[in-house]
Amino acid sequence: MMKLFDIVKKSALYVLLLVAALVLLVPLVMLLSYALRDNSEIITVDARFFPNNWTLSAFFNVFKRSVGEANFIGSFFNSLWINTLSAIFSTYVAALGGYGFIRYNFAGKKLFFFFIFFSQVMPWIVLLIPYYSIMAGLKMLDNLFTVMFSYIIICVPVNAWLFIGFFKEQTPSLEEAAKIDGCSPIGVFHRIVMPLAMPALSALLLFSFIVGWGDFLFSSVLVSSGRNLTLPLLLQTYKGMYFVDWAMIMAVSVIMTVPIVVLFLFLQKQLVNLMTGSLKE
Amino acid sequence: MKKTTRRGIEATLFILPLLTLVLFVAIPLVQAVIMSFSDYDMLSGSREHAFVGLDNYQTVWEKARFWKMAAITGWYTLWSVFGKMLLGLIVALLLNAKFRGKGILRSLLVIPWAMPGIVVAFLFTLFLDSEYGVMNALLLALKLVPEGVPFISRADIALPVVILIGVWKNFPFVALMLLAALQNIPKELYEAADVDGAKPLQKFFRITWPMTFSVWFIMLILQLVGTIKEFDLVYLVTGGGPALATNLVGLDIYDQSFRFFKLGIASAEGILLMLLSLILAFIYYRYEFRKR
Repeated sequence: MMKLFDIVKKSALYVLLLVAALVLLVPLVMLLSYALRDNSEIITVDARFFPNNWTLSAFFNVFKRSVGEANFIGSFFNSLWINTLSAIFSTYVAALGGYGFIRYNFAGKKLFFFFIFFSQVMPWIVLLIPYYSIMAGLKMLDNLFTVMFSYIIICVPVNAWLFIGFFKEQTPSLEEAAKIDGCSPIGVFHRIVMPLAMPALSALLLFSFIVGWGDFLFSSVLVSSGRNLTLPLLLQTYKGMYFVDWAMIMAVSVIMTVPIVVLFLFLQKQLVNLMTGSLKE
Repeated sequence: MKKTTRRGIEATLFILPLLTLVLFVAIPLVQAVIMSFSDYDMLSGSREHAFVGLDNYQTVWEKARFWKMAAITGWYTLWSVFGKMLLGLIVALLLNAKFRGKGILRSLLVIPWAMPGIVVAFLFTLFLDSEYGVMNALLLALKLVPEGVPFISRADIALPVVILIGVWKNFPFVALMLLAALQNIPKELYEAADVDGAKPLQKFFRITWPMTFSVWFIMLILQLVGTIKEFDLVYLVTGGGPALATNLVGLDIYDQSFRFFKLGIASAEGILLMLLSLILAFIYYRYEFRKR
């Protein structure tokens, strides 16, 4: 009798597992399957889960076609450089600040912590309106640096908060030893603390990179000309008033998604460790 | 040099860059408050923005439309957070059980998390389309529905649909965090409970739940503030429609500012939305520091 119960329990577990796996996986498979077909097999009342004719034509079109000054290569590199720089900069400054926050005492520390926490949870749209108006006043609209800087300021509070949690768990013994050997605090930070924090750093670099990589809110407001389009905005241009080039949208989506998912798979553990670190008391 | 001044300089070196960048959040925030008290209409052309006191807030407050949006935002947030927390908990418990193949499920969890929001929006818009969507083709083939369901263009189902898309995108994060908390529970507690002959439900309510409650509570707060600020998914899938059925306050702020250029009104709505996040942030802060 007990054995039967165990079998039922086990199979219930696997049914649940299968359902969960399908729910997670199907949209990604759907995305790939959409990207590998013609528009004629997308915009049809008889759309199938898998196409009848597999084709890479959407990917070729993505590279060939340009709308005005906008084209895929340009947008790809726009997105790549602004997000790479914003990830490096925001992660570095946050690491420096998070480390200082844990190792040193200063006036207003609690208020500072509260503000860091608050600036990561406040609705970004509230930040965007004055940011837009300030940048309009400075004649800095439609400028990729303005977009990059907006990503930096939305990434920094989250990263700093996570690093504060991370450094709270690290014992300073090795740092003390290096200081006795005559290393300056900044030297200790760069030669000892940063290399030891490498797993956390790489996870956070990726985490910051994707903030702008998939952003529509900030870029849609701050960018207007074709040569400054980022990838999310390029996707929007494929969505015309009368015709939506779904095949191209899906092809660009695949290019935007697959590398990120692969990197996430490698860095998942580090990312989870970093985030749970900030939740510990 | 005196030791204290030296440590002061060191601390400044570490903190100053961060402090400067955080100021770039604070300055726009102050500006937003100022804007919410001024007649800031970019289309009127005047460069001077007169101080109008609480006029913008009064306009917002008296608009029936605003309260409708607030109610939609409330429903959206509550159901979305409920879905994320519940699914997150179930999947975390599932992954904490012992069985083969759970590594695969754990890896699959990164898919929604890693997928850019705009990609998720476009994918589901097409997938759920009433005429061309594969979802409807499947439902029709299985004879589950008589005709294609307009998931996104019918007012009464659009809101649940965008909620579900948001839940799909964000529950893996909750699941992974709760799983980490579950794995932190010392195995000895369960062994001791087994010796005492505890039932599974007893173990859940006497060990699992109290041991993970603090992470669960923090995730709840983080999901609440995170959901209040969700924008991209809903805006790109429905644009607030049909008939404003999914018009969250955040979406209206976007339209008021960047389509109608009424930045004063938009800022007032923004500040109201922000106050909500501020309260939640404060609760979190008190919880985090309660024993110090």
